[in-house]
Amino acid sequence: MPIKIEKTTKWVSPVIAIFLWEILAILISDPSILPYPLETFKFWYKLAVEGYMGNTLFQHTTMSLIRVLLGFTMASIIAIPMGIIMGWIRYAESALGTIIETLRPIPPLAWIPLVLLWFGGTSILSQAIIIFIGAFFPILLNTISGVKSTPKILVEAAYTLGTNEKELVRKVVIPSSLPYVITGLRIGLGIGWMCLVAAEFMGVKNGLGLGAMMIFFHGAGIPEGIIVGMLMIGIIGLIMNEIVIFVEKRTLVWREEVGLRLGV
Amino acid sequence: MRRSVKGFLLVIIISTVLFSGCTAKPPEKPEKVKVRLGYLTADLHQLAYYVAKKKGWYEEAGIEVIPVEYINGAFEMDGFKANEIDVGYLGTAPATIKHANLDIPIQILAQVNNEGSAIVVGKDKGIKSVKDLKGKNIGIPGPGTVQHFLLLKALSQVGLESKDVSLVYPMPGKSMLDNLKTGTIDAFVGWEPFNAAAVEGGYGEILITSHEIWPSHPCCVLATRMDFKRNNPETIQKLVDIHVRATKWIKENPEEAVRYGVEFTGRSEEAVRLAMKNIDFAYEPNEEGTKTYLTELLEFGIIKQEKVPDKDQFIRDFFDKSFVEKTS
Repeated sequence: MPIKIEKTTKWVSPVIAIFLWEILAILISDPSILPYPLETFKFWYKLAVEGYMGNTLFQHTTMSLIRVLLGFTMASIIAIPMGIIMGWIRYAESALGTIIETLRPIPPLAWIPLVLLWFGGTSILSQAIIIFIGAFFPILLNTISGVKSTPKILVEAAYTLGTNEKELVRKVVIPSSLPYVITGLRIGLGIGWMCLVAAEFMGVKNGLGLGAMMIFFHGAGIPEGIIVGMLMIGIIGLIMNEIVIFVEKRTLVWREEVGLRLGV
Repeated sequence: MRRSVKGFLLVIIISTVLFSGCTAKPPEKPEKVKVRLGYLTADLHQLAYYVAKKKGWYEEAGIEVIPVEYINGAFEMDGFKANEIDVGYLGTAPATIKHANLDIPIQILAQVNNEGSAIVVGKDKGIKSVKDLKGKNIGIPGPGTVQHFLLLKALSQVGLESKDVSLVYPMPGKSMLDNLKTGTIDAFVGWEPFNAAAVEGGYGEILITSHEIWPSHPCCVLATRMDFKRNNPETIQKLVDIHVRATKWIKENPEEAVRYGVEFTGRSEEAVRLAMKNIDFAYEPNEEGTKTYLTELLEFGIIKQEKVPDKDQFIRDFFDKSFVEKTS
């Protein structure tokens, strides 16, 4: 019963948001500033079914997803092993710590001018690099924290049972730090997705991508298109987050904390 | 008591004399009219504004210009909408599209330039004619821009279509240069001084100028918010007079104009000199060219049909030539 109620209450806030949007649009009474929800949904349908200037919403979304997943995968491949090394080997952390802490506060978008200069900006690599920078640090730092949080008792027990270091890391440290890594992945994916719009402002092939689409609709004076782009980014971000939570739930069901948080 | 009455009267008389003296004295300088003027970053097409500013012609006419810089015309149109600016130098494309689609109440007072764009190709890309653009990645500022239509026109002139090339957008001018340099695009359709900068940088060459594609096509214009024009017709006349004067001056003093162009755009003297050759600085409103452009925007679906029920009427309402006519 409570789960049923929760499923219904989930939809309360979006309905209220649409209602408030309608009220605000009526108060402003200028669709060129804030279009009405119904007009926006109609345009959304048109964009999805017929497309605009030869590009459909599906094509825009697919290209954006490819860019984000490419950048995110690159970040994961580098940040997770690096985090394990830095978390486990103290010298590695002190050697790399300063440069990491210097680069970390630089916003991903501040790299754009340099990326433009080095790679031009319109290649998929350039856009993936911006997303990579956004996703890299949360994954790295969470992995380091995860490795460092491995309970001492587990490490000592494993040594007592005669395991070597390589096996200890593989069989004890990595599984124990997984919840942290997954949290890092979730944050990294979220930030990567947030960087997407700026990454696509640098120019994309055939104007395909949700960020590029929004810039086009701004130039064309079609605010409905801008809002559709924003909503699509929000909804996909939500879905991606749900997917990571689902994976977390499946793989870490053994962990009491995760079970409690997810209501398992 | 009598003494105090006398003293009171004396004070009244003295202050009255002083006060009347103050009011009777004519003001030394008439108050300047403040005008918020929008223009685009380092756009050589809009050199007339910079020349007029540097020559002190606005001040001379009793106008205090508050400059507002925009990175593109679409943002400048938002500036008009938000009442950030009263007049502005901007491209015909964003002015027409956003005036039509968003009902932003502006009017074109004068032309700023015609032509001034070109298709620029990477030097080592082996592109020798428009036909060679088939299958290439071509940067444009965005769909519906003058540069986009110039490309479509150029392609159709040799029997190619939009689907024969890969368009890359959105792309500001500087980004076009970076991408051509790194080879991520094979060509771009840009405006001056970026075209000349690619040539001067040694990595780009002009394949075809916009003069060859569409002679006398409209480019930048001087526009104003309608309410500002209604309330300040004299100031508008002065601004148009200054614009005409600056445009004529640029044409009559090309060498000196290059110097101003270097200052305005930050580009080298060679690049600016080369760029100036491709720009037709003008002030006579280009209604015919704008109508042709409007027709294409409607066909393309960028401007909503219901917004322009009658093209001729739209153009008539969009232009106010009376100020230029008075100047001439």
